Amino acid sequence: MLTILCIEDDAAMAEHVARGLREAGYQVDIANNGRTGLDMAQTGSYAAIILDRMLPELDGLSLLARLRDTGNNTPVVMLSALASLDERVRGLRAGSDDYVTKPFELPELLARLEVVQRRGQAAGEITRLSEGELELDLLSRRVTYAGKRIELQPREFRLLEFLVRHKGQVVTRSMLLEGVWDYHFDPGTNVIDVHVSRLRKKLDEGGAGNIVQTVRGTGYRVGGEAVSA
Amino acid sequence: MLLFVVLLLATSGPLILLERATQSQLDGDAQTRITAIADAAETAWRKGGQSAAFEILDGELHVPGPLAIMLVDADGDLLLGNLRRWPAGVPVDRGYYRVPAMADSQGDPSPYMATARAMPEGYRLLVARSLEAENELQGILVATLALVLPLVLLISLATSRMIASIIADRARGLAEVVRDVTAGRLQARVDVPPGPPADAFDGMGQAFNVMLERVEGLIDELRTVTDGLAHDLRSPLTRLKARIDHMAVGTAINADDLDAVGAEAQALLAMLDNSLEISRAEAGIGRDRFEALDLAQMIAELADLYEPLAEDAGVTLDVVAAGPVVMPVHRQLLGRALANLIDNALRYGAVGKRIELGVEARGGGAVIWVGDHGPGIPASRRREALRRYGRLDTARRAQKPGMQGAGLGLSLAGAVSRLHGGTLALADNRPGLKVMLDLPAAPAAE
Repeated sequence: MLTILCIEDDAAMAEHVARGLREAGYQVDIANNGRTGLDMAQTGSYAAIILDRMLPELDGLSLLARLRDTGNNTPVVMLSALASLDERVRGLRAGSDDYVTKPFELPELLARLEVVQRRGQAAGEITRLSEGELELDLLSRRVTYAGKRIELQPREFRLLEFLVRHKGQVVTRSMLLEGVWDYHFDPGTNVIDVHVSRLRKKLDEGGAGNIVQTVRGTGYRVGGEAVSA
Repeated sequence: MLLFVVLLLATSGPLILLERATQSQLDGDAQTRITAIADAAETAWRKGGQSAAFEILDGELHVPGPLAIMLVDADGDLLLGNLRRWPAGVPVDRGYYRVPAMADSQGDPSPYMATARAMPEGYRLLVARSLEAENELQGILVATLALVLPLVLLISLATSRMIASIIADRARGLAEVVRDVTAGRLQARVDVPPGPPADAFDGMGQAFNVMLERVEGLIDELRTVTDGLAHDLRSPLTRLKARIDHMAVGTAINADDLDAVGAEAQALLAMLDNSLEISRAEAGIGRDRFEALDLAQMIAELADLYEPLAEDAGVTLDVVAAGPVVMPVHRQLLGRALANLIDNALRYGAVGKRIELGVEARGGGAVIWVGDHGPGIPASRRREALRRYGRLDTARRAQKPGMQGAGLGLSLAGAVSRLHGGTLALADNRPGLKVMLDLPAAPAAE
């Protein structure tokens, strides 16, 4: 059972997050100020840390700096009401692995939490990705299903690549916008959805229907439920 | 005070140096003279014996002047000369010595420069020259200094006082304006004649005024933003409350109601986010994150992003770019602004079936535009459209939450243009709307 440390001084928010985490199968420890949070982070062994930026006694950015200074590389998802792009960059530069602005959807937080946990495990140079009979050759940028080639446009390939890289994890629309186009704003409208439906159509035509599943209210996923490490 | 000391040193310094230089020059003169005589006497003795030397020395003595000569034998008896006794402190070593007071044949003591040497047969010769003239000169110089120095002191004091007072005066004007502004009177300005500044203070005054304009402008912006936000949040929040009240009273809560409430709340958050980015861009925050990018590639990426959505709406997205256009920009903000514009174009200009995204290099900078062929915005209403929350179709606004996007979209594009030092303009796309971001060349290193 994986344990997440949630460092958040707003009790209601902490409970809300903790409940969501427990429902998703995690164990949760809560700290309501920076000092205690840092102590627990350094002495405990957590799969990931959810860190609020504004904390009493030791603010999130300082806590993070100290944590990283001691060589602790536990994945951190930072939580903040400071939503502007500059603040996001500051948070990421300080050492967090992802940055979620308040208010947030719990599924979004959970999805990103899962992704940061796997980040450290990525092998060096991957040249092939696969999911079932679907194979992606990252060097030649080609996709085959059951040996048969599926023609994809470059952006469709990148989209599929991102999804398959994160197989088993839920990928939200904003994650896709970030991962494939490198833009950080709320994609709004259906800008991402239409890309996914195009991709699906082509996969379907190639016999690989249902590879990309919709996770209602959250985003998309390739592959089955995430396997607990 | 420092100024005063500097002036003092600057004027008295050269005078003192002059005195020193003169002194050493005169000393040198005397030394050369007495050595020449002593040399002549010595050479004569070696060539023609004692009498030859006597002749030379005697000749010198008969010339009235500042010379003092003494030739003594091994026992110390005076053979020739106009001195009564050998002065103290002059060893027989050919060195130069200053004798402060020597009584010559006239009896008046005065300072002398002397040199003494051994002559053949155990004799000793002393040749000395009076430094009377030198002393007089020195006296004059000292007197001059004594006169000049107090004068210099006075002038330095007066000048530095005057300069300090001028500076204080000019600075006071500025200080008063700063005090006024700090007290809340934002309209205060420095009194400066228009046109090119006459001096550094005028220049500073003008710069101050520019800064104060900006501050006043920002405060106004703030007022507008908070007023606008309050105004704009009121309606959707009221709608939200009404819906929730309705649901509370009703017997069943259906999914559609919940969805609508959620969507309304989402739209509000998006509006808040956008407003925040706009305000920060207006304040110039983010300029340090500019990176050099090919804008032609950037719009191609955005076209790529929106292409499926456009196709579904039956609209083609054309990219117009003659070649790479590289300049430093804030990628995220500019991308977001352009995405907003494309979104607007798809929303309001879809009927035109075609949208253009273009970039063109212009004088070191670039012009980026998004054009649709929809109904466009009539010239008379373009200003209104650019105001932060301006919305043109009040009827449409009521239909769906999220339609507030148009006003904010143009507003963000405007703020981002200004962040880059440029401007936003709306034009007739014949037909339709063309939104243009005119970004100037990056200024040279500050």
